[in-house]
Amino acid sequence: MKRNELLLVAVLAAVVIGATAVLPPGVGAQSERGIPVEYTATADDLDSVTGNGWEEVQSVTVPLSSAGADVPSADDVTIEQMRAQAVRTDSRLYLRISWADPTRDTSEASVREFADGAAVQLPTDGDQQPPIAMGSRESPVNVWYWSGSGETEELFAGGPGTTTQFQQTTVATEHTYADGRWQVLFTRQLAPDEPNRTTVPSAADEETSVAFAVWNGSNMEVAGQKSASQWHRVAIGPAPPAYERVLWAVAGVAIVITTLVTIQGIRHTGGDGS
Amino acid sequence: MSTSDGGETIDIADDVDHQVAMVMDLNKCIGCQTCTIACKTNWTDGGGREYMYWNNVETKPGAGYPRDWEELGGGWDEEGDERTPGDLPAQEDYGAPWDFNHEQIMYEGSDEPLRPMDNAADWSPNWDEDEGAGEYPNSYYFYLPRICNHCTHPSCVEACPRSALYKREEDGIVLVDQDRCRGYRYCVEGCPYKKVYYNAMKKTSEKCIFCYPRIEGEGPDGEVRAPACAEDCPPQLRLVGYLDDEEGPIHKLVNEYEVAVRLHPEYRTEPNVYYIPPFAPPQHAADGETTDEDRIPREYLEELFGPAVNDALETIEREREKVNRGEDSEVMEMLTTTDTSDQYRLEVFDEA
Amino acid sequence: MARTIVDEGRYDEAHLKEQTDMPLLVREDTGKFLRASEVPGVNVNADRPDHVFVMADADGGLRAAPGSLGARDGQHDETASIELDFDPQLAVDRTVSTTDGSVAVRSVWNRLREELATYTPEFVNEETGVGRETHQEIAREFAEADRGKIIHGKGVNDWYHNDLGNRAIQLLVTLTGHIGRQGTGLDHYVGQEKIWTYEGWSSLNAPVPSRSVPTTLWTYYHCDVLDNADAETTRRVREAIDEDWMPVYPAEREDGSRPDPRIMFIWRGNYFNQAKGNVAVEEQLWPKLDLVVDVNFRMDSSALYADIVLPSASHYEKHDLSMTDMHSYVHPFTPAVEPLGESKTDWQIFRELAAKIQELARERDDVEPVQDREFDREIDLESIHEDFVRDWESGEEGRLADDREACEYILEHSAETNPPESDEQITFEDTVEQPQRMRAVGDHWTSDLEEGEPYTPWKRYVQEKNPWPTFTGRQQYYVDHDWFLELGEELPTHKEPPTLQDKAEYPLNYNTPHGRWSIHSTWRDSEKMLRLQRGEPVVHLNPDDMEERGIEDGDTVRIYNDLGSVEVQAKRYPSGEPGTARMYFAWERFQFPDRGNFNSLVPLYMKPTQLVQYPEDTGEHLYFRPNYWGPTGVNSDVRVEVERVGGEGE
Ligand code: SF4
Ligand code: SF4
Repeated sequence: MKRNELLLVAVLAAVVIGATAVLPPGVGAQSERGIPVEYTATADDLDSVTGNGWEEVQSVTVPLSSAGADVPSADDVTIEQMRAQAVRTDSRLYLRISWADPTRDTSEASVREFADGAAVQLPTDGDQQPPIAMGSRESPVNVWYWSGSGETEELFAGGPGTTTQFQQTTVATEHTYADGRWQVLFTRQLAPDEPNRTTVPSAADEETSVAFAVWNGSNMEVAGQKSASQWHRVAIGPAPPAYERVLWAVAGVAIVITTLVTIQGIRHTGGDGS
Repeated sequence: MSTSDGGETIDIADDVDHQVAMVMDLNKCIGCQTCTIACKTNWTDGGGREYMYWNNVETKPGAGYPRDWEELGGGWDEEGDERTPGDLPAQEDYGAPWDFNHEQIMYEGSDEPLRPMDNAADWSPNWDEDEGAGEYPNSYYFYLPRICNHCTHPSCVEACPRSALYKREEDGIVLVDQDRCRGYRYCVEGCPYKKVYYNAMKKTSEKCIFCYPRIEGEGPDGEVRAPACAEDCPPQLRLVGYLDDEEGPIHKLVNEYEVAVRLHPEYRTEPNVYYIPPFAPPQHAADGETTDEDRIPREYLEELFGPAVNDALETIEREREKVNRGEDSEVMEMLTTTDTSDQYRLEVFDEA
Repeated sequence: MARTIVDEGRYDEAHLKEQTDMPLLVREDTGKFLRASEVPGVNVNADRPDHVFVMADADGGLRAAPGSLGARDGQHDETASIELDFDPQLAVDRTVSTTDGSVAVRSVWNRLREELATYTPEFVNEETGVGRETHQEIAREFAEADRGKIIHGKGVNDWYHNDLGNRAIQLLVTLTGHIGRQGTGLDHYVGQEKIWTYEGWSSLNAPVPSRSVPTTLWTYYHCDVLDNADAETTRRVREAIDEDWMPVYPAEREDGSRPDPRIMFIWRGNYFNQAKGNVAVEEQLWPKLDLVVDVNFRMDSSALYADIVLPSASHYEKHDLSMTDMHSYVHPFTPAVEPLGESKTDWQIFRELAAKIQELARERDDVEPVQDREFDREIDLESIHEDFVRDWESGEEGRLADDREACEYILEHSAETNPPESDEQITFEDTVEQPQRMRAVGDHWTSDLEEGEPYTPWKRYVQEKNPWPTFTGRQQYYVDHDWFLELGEELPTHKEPPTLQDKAEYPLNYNTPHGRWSIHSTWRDSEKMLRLQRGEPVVHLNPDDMEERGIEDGDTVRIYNDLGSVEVQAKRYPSGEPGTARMYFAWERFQFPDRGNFNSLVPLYMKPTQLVQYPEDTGEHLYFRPNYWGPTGVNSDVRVEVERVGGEGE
């Protein structure tokens, strides 16, 4: 695809996404193509990655594929899908992701060792949907990067190769590895009192987007050599949740389209990791 | 690229003002590792750098450091615009920075012999020291001191998706911006000389910095000093200066006389460390007579230094004969000077 | 090579006639030099005509050789000259009427030619492996060069017959006249240095000159080797000691007995590790010692086997002077940091020991001064510290309280750094400013210093024609000492090494050269350096020898002979001569399992010719002086076998 064709597709996709809000309800209520954020008054049983409460939360399957970045072996990735669950309270977001990875790689203690990793990408400005590969200067992103080595970083990026770590992290993580699966819980205030942080909307009619990436360390996946998702709409469930299914079904349609488009797009734009 | 008065061009990278360079005369290296220790003491003594030798000295022919680095790829393709893929060395191939049981022996009464602990000793940065090749009495080997070449066309810089590596504008020294580096190690695999190292403690890559604080006069005595590997070398085999300093010996040896050649020019990173190729006594016949046969096979030297090594060797041979005949030779003078102001020309471009 | 140079007439005849003993006549009956006192009619103007030698002039007339010891005032006599006013014959074979009647004589030159005739190209090739043509070509090139110089290291000295080897090598520069000018001579780079400021250093030892002993002989003696050595060696060693040619301490008592050593201070050395005959040192000498004190900045093998270790400051924690005869500058050591932990400078350690002794002696108040057995003085323990720090030359009390002042004292009292009748003195401060070139040379040097030129020895003899400091006043290749005559070593000659081990049983030559990974044993166990090696002692073996024994690179092997056995790692070394097991020396004992050592395979042996005084009675030519003349510790004549440890074996 040529550059201006890509642009056109992106514009179209944006139009479609914008249109989802007015599409009729009732399509594929159980679709995994959006990330519903359920509301809960208290998160006591969700505060831990293995908390009981998570059994009740809807889980969405997110397809992953090579991010197609301009790094050696970018296409050599191993993880094809992950699952995501999200819940919010009045002040906090809880996001649990999980994926299958038969090798548990936690060490970066030598030159050929790479840790497994996962990242959650959000537009810094919730209204926008920045370029999937680390955003752009005009439309930057926040990235929550969790490493199998146990570290979590909160990052800011305005395009490939620009990732910068925030001095203070506002994100907490917890993880388990069992039966060949990683589960990682990210939690954060919806609206941290720090500059350049994505504010996760708290009203049901607000929306934002999210994208994911995971790395398999034993396949020496690092940086742009990663399995990445497209942007997914994040719909904030009202309290109590009433319209969410309809809304998410609608969003799903748009995402099907944008997925196809963005996959084509990022294959050629290149990109950077976390 | 800068153009000399004589109209010839001196190739330096487009975006640098000057280019630091070094010439090492391999005929003088005794393999003492003083340079290695000088470098280690200054820069890589701890903090995850224990296994690193920004300066190492290896026996050639030999596997080198990291082991078989010449087989790990990296660098550029024939046109010089596409990088060729490289591999990360295995950690074992660097050798482990062994700890020893001194404490137990000296102070705890252990009867054990002093040894690397954890039985870890089966490879080290200099394991095949002095082995070389060939058979007695025509065996051969020589020492090859190596630092980062601060290349004009560095594939390490190109390999980094975050542009954490860069050539300093003022002197072309190649550095890793430690704030930008996220430890992806593309530079480690991208450098065909394997002269970028991953620091697992800091999770960033690190490399030779050409002792820039010393050449900037930031040393303890506030004087401009050549890199420690050069100044501490007992036979003083390194010349340090700028490639584009037309009055200096480096320019003359490299560009004018073409006796200083690049290691593995086929990697096409255009190194700025140059070598005076090694001579060795000729071979002996079975009856003990000296023959005309080269001891170090010429093909081997070509493999290391490319075809330019032939002219370099011949020129040096000619210049040596001149001296033997009692004539002057600028080449031999430059190679044997003991005047440190000729060996180390680091202030030529300083503003008054 | 000497044979080629002589046979092909490439020698420097004028040099040989004027500067060497080649024209001197030697009696065929005794092998001794013909002395002027034995030949009536030789015109000799000397106090000791029996110490004057004889040459034949062009007409066959017998002449006293100028510069002979008997015609000069001691070893060095600048008023004498070897300049000739006649043309002596080199080749002489005749009879001379002497006080003993008619005696056949030949010149040294003729004897040398006879000796050299043995070394045909075939013989050289057979013995050395060097080609018949190649060695002759080198000889020709060397002879024809405008200036020729030979540089050699310590290797020759490791062999029993090292004196013969060195004399033969030196012969080449003499034959060709490559001597006594810039760019010529024999440079022998061994750590046994001449000390530039020898004078000041001896003076600091005041009020008695230094009481030095040849360590090789001392160790040999106290390890009771004489009880086991062959009869002839035992006889000679005893004679050298009895004749006082070489000192051994403790000194002999009046009743003829000699006590065992009881206390040993080890300072600036790693004696326990480095002494040849390590097994004997441990088993014979160590039990005799009640107290071993080691003054050291490293925990080395000696420290591990000492009763007390006094931690001392290292090079960069103290003031000291650095000099070597490889150049003519004096460098300072200055403290970059204060001595670490409890360590003190060496000077301070010895001074404080003296202070403590003085304090205890004064407390006891009944300690009588001790008469020095050798020198005319009393040792008063009640003032020993005051004596230690006194500048005994000026009488200034307490001057030498610290190391820096001791350095200053040495500089002040050496002609090299404070030439008499000149204000050219070098102070310690000057050396800190920048290394200083010596200002002059004292008596023990053989050339003047020339501005802008490296020091080159022997100019006084070759250019100024002062007599050489030898018996004959010339470069002397013929030594008519009784022992040399008895052993057939009056001229440099080739001898097979002594048989220490049977070749059939121990087929490999064992040598322990200087390595480049340490300075002797200092830093031999440095972790940083070991990481650049294999972390443990290795033996370098030729691949053929390895294959024959089923040994692979990295295997643990046992090296053994009749004296001992050590376990080390085998290292493949294609450049090693087949039949050689090479272990670069100076590994510490604690680097070997069972605390073996590279010296465990080396016996204590030494060559008696190196114990002589010459002339036998007065010793002006050869006499014991540290680093000048004395027996060399040798180790390269040893043989071993190597086998793989563990595994299936063969
Ligand atoms: S030698 Fe390697 S690390 Fe150094 S500049 Fe060249 S490519 Fe980069
Ligand atoms: S210090 Fe000099 S001689 Fe010694 S190994 Fe390094 S380059 Fe070679």
